[in-house]
Amino acid sequence: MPVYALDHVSKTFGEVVALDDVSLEVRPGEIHVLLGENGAGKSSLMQVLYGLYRPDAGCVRIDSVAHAFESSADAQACGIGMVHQEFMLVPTLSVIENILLGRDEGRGPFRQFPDWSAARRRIEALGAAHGLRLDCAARIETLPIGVRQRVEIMKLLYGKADLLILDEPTAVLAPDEIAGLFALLRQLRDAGHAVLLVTHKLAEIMQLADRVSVMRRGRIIETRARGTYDLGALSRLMMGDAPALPIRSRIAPAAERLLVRGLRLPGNRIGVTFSVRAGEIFGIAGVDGNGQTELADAIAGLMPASCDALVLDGHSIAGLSVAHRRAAGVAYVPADRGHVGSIGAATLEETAELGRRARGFLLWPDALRARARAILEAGHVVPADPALRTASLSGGNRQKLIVAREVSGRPTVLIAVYPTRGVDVAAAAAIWSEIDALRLEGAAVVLISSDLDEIFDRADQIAVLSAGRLTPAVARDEADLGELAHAMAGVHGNAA
Amino acid sequence: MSAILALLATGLRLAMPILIAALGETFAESAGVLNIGLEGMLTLGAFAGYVVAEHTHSVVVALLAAIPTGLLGAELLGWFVIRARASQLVVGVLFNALATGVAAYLYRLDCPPGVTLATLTLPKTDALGLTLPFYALLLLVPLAEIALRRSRVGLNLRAAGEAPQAAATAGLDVERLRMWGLRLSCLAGALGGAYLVVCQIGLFRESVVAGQGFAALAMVIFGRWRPIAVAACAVLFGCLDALQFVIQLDAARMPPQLFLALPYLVSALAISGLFGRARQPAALGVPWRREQRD
Repeated sequence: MPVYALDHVSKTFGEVVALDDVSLEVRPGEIHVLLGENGAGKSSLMQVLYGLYRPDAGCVRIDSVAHAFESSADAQACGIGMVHQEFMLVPTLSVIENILLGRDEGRGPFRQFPDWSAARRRIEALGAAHGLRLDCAARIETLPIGVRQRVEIMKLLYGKADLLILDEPTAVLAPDEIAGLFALLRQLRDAGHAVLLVTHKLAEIMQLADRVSVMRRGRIIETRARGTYDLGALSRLMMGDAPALPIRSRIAPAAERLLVRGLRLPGNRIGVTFSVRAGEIFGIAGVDGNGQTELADAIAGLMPASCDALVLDGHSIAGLSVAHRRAAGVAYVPADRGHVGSIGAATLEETAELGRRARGFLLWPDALRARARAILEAGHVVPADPALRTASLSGGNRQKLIVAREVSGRPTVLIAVYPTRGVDVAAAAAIWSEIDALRLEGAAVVLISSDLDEIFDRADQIAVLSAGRLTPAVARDEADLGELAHAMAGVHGNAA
Repeated sequence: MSAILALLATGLRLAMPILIAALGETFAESAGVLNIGLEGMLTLGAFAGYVVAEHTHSVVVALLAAIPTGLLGAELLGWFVIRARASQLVVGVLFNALATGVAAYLYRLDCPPGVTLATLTLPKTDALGLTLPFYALLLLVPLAEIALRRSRVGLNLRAAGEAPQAAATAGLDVERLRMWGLRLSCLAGALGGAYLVVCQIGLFRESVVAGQGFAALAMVIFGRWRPIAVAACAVLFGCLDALQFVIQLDAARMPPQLFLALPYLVSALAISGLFGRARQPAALGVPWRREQRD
């Protein structure tokens, strides 16, 4: 199997240099990890390798022969396959239909009729060879995320890919599924495939990578083989001199601020119950799609849900509208910052004004701008020009703006869903210093996150949401990482 | 017994234009294009069939006239909704208005008004009063079922309508697939219209289609985007239509409009969601844009 390489590749978008003279080599029989913060240039690099971007300079070399890919089809023809972060599967079609989709093979007139049984035999043979068993007839939408990822990998193997590129493959998986994926990747490596795994999650890949290349600001900083790197060294390479997360200061827990009792999420008869005290962060861990968004929406009032009690500072807010809940002191940083948290077409000052309760019919431009400036400054949003469109901000700055806006009303309860997902370390630090300042004023914070590290780092109380049910909360100091990971995967300690 | 058989035969006969149009529309919608302009395509096909039949006195040639008509309509619609990514709903509604206008204008320009195609002899009529063209077109039903549900191109079309991004990633040309779906829909619509005029009523007015294109759109939903089921629903619609003739004759004191509305009322009910909600192709009606590349 061939050696794949990027040879002095550069790529600019307008004035932004995405890739600056990058060279990288992936050999057969190795797991090569490309590590870097968001915006370091990892995805641009992958797009070049996969034929989606044409580089300004440099080229892709396969066994030292230069190639100029016109499209991803060219790359596929050269044995390059990619599993996108968002799976490219048709949910209503079966596993085998998805694998054969777009493949130019079939019998009968115009080769219109795929040979399903031959295809099934090949899939089964490949599955047996790599420990990748799939039910060919199952429809994609009925399969759990981890299995869908396996279908994507099978698609590549079926297409005879030698180089497998995986973009952030662990982002959607529970810890147990991650272990399964890694075992599969090792098996593929041992069978001679080249695996390029792209991620910003440092801790996970320590055991997996044969070589690690670290990217920062469009350049490969360094490539290291296994045994010559450790966590600390890689993290310094990855982040440069980015600020660390603010140290979390403790305050004595005070009175109960928010009480949620028996809140029933869709499809569940057993309700979610928890309470948060003033100055406390209540961390809800769990894999995406286990009821996180629904729970947050229900507390914020966006989704009707039946509950036994929803009490804020001794007053029930269960029957209140979203506006009245906000007035009562509930603030919300939603998971979807692009569509729910802000409006791309609105200007920064309009986004900063959204949801503010005030009297008067007209928006006075000077006052609007002044309020926006204060929020942009407090949130360290760059660029801090109130007249810009919200869509022009990077993801991290957009999130900083949303958090600054929600915090600016000095709420008594803040619900933050994945507040730092996909943002770089500096932005995460800015976001957390704002949330922490609010907490130290006595607000109660509900932190919903799929990032166990963040939960452990930030929360005072930790519970796990799995299939719409919440485990009993434990104090952070008494929490056990392994047990939480098991609970996230849906294995309950006391269940038979 | 013979009364029921007669009713069924009449129903089948009345159903044919809607059945063909709905079959074609099933392909367009499976690929993600909602062709609201189907009603207009029926009108244009009806006019083309009438004009050609009048000049050639040939049923087959008149029906074949639907092919250029349908392809032309598809190019126009496709340019707006696929190339320019305009709203399929708005373009479709405007197309219907345009088609009625064009057909009415050309009819007045070219044809002596009110002339029926009496001279036309239909090839071979059987005991049920069903003609050879009818049986020939009926063959389209199993063909459509196999093409959409069993063939590779059908798989590709469905992928383009369910998850266009995934289809594009698999190397398929989503715009081309959708264009072919739209072409089939327009071809079928024009054919349905030509059949209506040439094989059923023998005269043309711009209002001759009278909502059958919209009924076909309803049948696609009613039949859950599966060709055989769509065809069965169209036949049911035709039988209800036939039934209203019978009832109208028998119950002379009831307002006839009530019975005229019967098939439409039933199809409205059928797609209302009261009888289980079907999931439409996920990207139906959503314009697709290839991702920005440099």
